[in-house]
Amino acid sequence: MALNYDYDETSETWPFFLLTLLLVILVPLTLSQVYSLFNDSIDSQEIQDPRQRSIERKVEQISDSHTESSVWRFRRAFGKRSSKIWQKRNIVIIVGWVLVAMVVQSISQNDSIQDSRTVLFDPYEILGVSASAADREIKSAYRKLSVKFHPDKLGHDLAPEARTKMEEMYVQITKAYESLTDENVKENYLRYGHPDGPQSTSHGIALPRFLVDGAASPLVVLSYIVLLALIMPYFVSQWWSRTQAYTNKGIHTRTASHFVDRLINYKPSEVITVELIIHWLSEAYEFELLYPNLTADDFEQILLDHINRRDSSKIADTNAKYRIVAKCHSLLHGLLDIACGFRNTDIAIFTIETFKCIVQAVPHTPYRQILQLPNVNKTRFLEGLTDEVHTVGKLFTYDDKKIGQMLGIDDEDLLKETLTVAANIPQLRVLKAEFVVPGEKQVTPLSTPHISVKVLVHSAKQRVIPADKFPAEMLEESEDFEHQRDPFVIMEQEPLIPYSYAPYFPTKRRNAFCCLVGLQKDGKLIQTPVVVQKLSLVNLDKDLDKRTVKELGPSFKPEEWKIATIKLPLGQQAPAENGDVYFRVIIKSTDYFTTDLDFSICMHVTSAPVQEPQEVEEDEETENDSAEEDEEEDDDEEGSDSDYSDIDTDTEVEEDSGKVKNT
Amino acid sequence: MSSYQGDAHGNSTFFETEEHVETKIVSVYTPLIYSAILILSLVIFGSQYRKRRIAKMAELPSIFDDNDARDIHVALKELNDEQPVHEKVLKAALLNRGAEAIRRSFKMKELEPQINILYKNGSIGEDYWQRYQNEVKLIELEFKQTLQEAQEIQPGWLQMFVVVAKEICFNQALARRYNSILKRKTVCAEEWELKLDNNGRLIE
Repeated sequence: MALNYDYDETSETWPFFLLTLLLVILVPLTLSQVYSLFNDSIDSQEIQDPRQRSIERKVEQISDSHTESSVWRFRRAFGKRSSKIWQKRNIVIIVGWVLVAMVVQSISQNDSIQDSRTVLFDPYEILGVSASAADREIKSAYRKLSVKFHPDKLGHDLAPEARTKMEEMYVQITKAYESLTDENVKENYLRYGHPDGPQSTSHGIALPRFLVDGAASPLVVLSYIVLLALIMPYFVSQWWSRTQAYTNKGIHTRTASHFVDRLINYKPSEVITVELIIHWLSEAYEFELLYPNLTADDFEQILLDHINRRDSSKIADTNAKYRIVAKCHSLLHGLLDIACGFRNTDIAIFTIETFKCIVQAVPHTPYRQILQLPNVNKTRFLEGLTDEVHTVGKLFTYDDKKIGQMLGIDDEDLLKETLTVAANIPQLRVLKAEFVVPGEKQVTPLSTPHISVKVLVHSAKQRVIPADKFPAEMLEESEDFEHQRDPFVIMEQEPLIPYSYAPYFPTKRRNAFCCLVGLQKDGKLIQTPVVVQKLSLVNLDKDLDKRTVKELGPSFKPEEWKIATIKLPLGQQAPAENGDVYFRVIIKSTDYFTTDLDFSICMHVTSAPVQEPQEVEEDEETENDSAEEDEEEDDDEEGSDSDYSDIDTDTEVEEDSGKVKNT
Repeated sequence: MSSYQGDAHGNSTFFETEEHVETKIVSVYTPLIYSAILILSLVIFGSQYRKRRIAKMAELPSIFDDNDARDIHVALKELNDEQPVHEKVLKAALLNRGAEAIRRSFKMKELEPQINILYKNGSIGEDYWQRYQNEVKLIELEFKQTLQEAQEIQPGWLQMFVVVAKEICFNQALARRYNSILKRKTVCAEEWELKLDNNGRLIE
């Protein structure tokens, strides 16, 4: 309770103050940097699955060879920028740690800090016993020391200074002994840290005197004002306006407002086209921020030019064009999110179509599936068109030579490239789609089901495999504990989808599948899109050419084919009443023009348990079924039991070994 | 910064400072002036802040595109001051304006849950939310204004006015859809690269 304030003349405290401040900043920064380094390596991680990787390599090679040098330059420029930020941060961290080292060094060399440490009263240290010593040990230590330092026992030939020191030592020893044995003194020690009772406390300012009293004091005041009144509010307001300026989907709020405006003012009588979406897109605020001297018309022109693979605009800067095209990714995702929020199916679908157009640089014509392939001679293809060839699947009904003629590709190597890309565009085929409630046989009222879609990823080149070729067990929902707990874990286990063939898009892209769910009743979407980024494409490697394999004979082995599962969480509960509700599920590839899935699926809500339809007629089968089920259940139980017993035995073993050690 | 250290001058200074306490004579007006300045500055800040906010809100653009119906009506009324416009023309313009107001309020009501969800998801920003709230109030005001005008033109017309305006609104929606059929046809034909002959039939 002293009223005077000491300055830190001997710099006892402020180095600690500084050290704490430095560490508070440095430790989280360093950790985050290490984490990002680690995370970055995960992000750029290549696909683990070797088969998936080999499929990726095939397409990636062709895509890379078709990529123009200006696109490569653009990609490199983008890569560099991210590494620059990196270095700046690293320098801050390094300088920070050097400062920490210097402060620690100065602390360890500072005498007054060492002194103040010795001033602290520690009875155990004085007596030279450990803190856990019993009374007897303390007593004996005290006896030994007191014999050594007792004033009566000291030699007469000692110098007076040495003598007073020895006497002081003796007083300290006695105090230490008392503080550990005597009740009163001990309480004083425990409460105040000193055997004599409360010590005076001094309140100080952790700044050296010259900073406060000397000429530097206005500087200190000024720096406080700058820090608290200018710098801190500035950064807080910066952070706040940044979080306010962008929506959750990463688009500027002004762009989001613009999109919502367009959706509100959109009249249903108007047909949505890719051009309309691009027109909306061109008015995005992001473009204005990037290039304030260009107008929305310029941006629209750039995007249309990109899609039509032509160059008619007056803007010469290719990097500017690439930046605008690359920006469309986040903008269209934002628009998709808003369109889903407005439940508008058509706009959501055309947003994805627009994105495909931009990724492939192909206009939205009926022949887009063919035009996205490499080396296609557009004029020769359109002129020599005799049959209606709209899809890649149709293309593969002709033999290679005919395909070359149709697409206007004379060179054999180039044709091979084209065919490789065409064969490696993943096509999806629904084998089974149902609503699943984990742990239930049917969808009960008010339960939370999800949509489980079993799809066959195949190539357009392969012969169509009907769903009934696959045994029912392959399409069953797995019922083990892990899947019941988290039904979506199965999608996480899939490998990443390979890079797409997209040489015209400024950045390298992985394909993805956008899943929209709507109601059949009013034809409107009910939830935000689910984006599937992991899917095994190993089936594309299978050789089942539909031009040579006329029929799926006995040589067809369904086990060799991988059936993928796409699970879509449903944003709402099942209805409270029994009945059928029809949903529409749309699964669209974001990068390729393929046969996208668009199918309806029925949610059959019943509260009664599912009855076996052939219960009366075929008793044996049902019995068998039930027996099998019982067995399965038994298996499950056994499995879980053994799991737990494993844990139990483990602990027991540990306890046993512990006991052995103790004894 | 406190530490238990064996120095005792803390106590001594305690007594020293108590010995000479200085007192200063302060005028009665000092606290009054102080509080007056404080309150005045707060009041000024408050009013300025409110003014700015209102100005900012007024600057926010409308959610809807241009309101042609209202512009036409206002222009006609101005024209009426210079030279008389036929009463039926004025009434028709007012009905048109009322129909547009009804359409907008329907649209707002229809979109309310969706905008709510988007706002909660963070897909749209704070200012859009503000714009939406403003728009709802403005449309209400606009509708009330048309009703008032209707009452002025012909007292007792109000009941009929609302019914007719609603009818017009629905009819306009229908007409829009009907009139767009031809345009839709050309757009779709272009989209699918269909070739049509002069009678509008597909060329196989």
